[in-house]
Amino acid sequence: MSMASPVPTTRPKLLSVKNLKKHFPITGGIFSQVVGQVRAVDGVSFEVDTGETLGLVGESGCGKTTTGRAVLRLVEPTAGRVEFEGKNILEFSAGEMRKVRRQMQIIFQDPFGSLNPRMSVRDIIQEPLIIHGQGNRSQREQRVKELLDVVGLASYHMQRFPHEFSGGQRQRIGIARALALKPKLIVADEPVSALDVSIQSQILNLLEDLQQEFGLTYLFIAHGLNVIRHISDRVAVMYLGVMVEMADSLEIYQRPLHPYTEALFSAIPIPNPELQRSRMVLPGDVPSPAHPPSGCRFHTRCPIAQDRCRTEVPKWKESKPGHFVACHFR
Amino acid sequence: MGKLGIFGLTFILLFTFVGPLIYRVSPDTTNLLYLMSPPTLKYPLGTDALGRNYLARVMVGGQLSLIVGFVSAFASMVIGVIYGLISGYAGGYVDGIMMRIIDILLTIPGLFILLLLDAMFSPSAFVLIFIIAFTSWFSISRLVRSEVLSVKQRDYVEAARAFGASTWHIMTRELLPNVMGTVMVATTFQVAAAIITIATLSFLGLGLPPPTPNWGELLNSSMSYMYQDAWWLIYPPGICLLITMMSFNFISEALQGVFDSRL
Repeated sequence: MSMASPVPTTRPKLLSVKNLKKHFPITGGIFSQVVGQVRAVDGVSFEVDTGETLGLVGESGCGKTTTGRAVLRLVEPTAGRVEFEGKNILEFSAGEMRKVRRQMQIIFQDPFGSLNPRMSVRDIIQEPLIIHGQGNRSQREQRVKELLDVVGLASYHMQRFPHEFSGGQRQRIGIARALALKPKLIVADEPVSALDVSIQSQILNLLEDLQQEFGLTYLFIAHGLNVIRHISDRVAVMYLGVMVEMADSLEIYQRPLHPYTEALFSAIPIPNPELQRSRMVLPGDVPSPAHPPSGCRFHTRCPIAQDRCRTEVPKWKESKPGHFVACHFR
Repeated sequence: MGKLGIFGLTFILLFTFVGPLIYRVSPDTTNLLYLMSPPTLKYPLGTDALGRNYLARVMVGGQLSLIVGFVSAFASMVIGVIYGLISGYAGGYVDGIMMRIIDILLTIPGLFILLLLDAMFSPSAFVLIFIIAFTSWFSISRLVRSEVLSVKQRDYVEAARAFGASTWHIMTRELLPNVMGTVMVATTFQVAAAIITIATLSFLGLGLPPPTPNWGELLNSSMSYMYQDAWWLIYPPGICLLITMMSFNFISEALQGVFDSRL
């Protein structure tokens, strides 16, 4: 279920992830020996084209955040390849990695934890410039002003400290920091899920505008499909460390194939109380990634599971052009 | 309480450092006509067994206690911060080994190390600072290490790593400023503890050599006259120590509130 055949595209690939795995050892006993592995990400493959937004969706604990961090090598993947502009960055030396880090940035979920409380906004935004030795003092100052302007903040906000801002404003500061080095790829790790609903759309619109303006490519991680729909060109759905479905945004919303994707969609509230619909509720909880179910990992909660699902791992196949799914029956 | 602490500390600092400039009496001059004199107008705190002006001695006696206290607390802070930063940030085996070293050092009773080192090196203010710093950095480094363990998980540290920040940059720019609150609180306590340690050593006769007085030594030499009701020899240095201790404890408690850190 891990090998992806290439997606037919017209745009050049920026990021190509192949069979990515990240296992965390579980230690126990008095000598803290390894007693098991949490398979947070267990063989994920996908590609992101230049200028595109790939939405990565799944429940908490499905490995989507770990995938995002492994792509940036913030956690070291256990196996697989992460190709950025055709080169496998997992083989890069520390020096090469430092250079490529300018091209790829991250926006965090928690706007309160992602900014150093002891730094002013100026220091926070110019920090990446200092690390990469870009510009002198006044040039950096100028750049900080530009960036604040780009994300909709005023230059007088520079002297202030993070605690003086609201969640939405802090997220804008985090975005400005991510843009400082003019990256090509941005991993947005649930950038709006900690914000008020009224602020969410502002930030999403900002991210879209920035994409247009700077030709950014997003790997957009979210746990709900309603946010993803807003911004993604394509959507990939993860369950328990593996990918179960990937397709164009419109396609996956109109014709989801995997039963898990269907269940996720039926969880989106419809703003119409008159409308009756059958809500698909999945029984049970997500199984532990330390002991994933045999066969298809979803079979313990799947409404259409058969005996075959318990033993046989479903293949990752292109069911329709550009629409990938890992299910025996779809 | 913080205000009370600042007030107390200001009083002690003025008393010990500005006091001798105003009350210009030598603490070492003996007056054989006034041995063991109770407080009088001429000798506001009386005299000791050698007829020396006790007020002058208590004032000057604070200087060394406070200087050695501050400097040794600062030194143990520096050692503790560096050790704790490295241990906490490195994690894994390095952290394990570094913390076990502290565990081993902590099994040796502090007073024992103090007495041993004190016997090995002839005591001077400099040696005393070194000895106190050496025996008191463990707790600060443990605190720093545990703070670092939590701070290094924060997203802003991850963000710095995502920019390609060096270990040095992360330690000095991201971790250090965020553990300094706790460090300040702990160091304030440490100053008080160091002053008590000096007093203890001097009280045991192992502190700083005469003639420069310090509060512990004053208490020590006054002990012999307790039965002669020489209360003026006991209370002044004792009260000075008490005010100093309480001031530092009040201040560090107030700092804990400011930095919102828990010890």
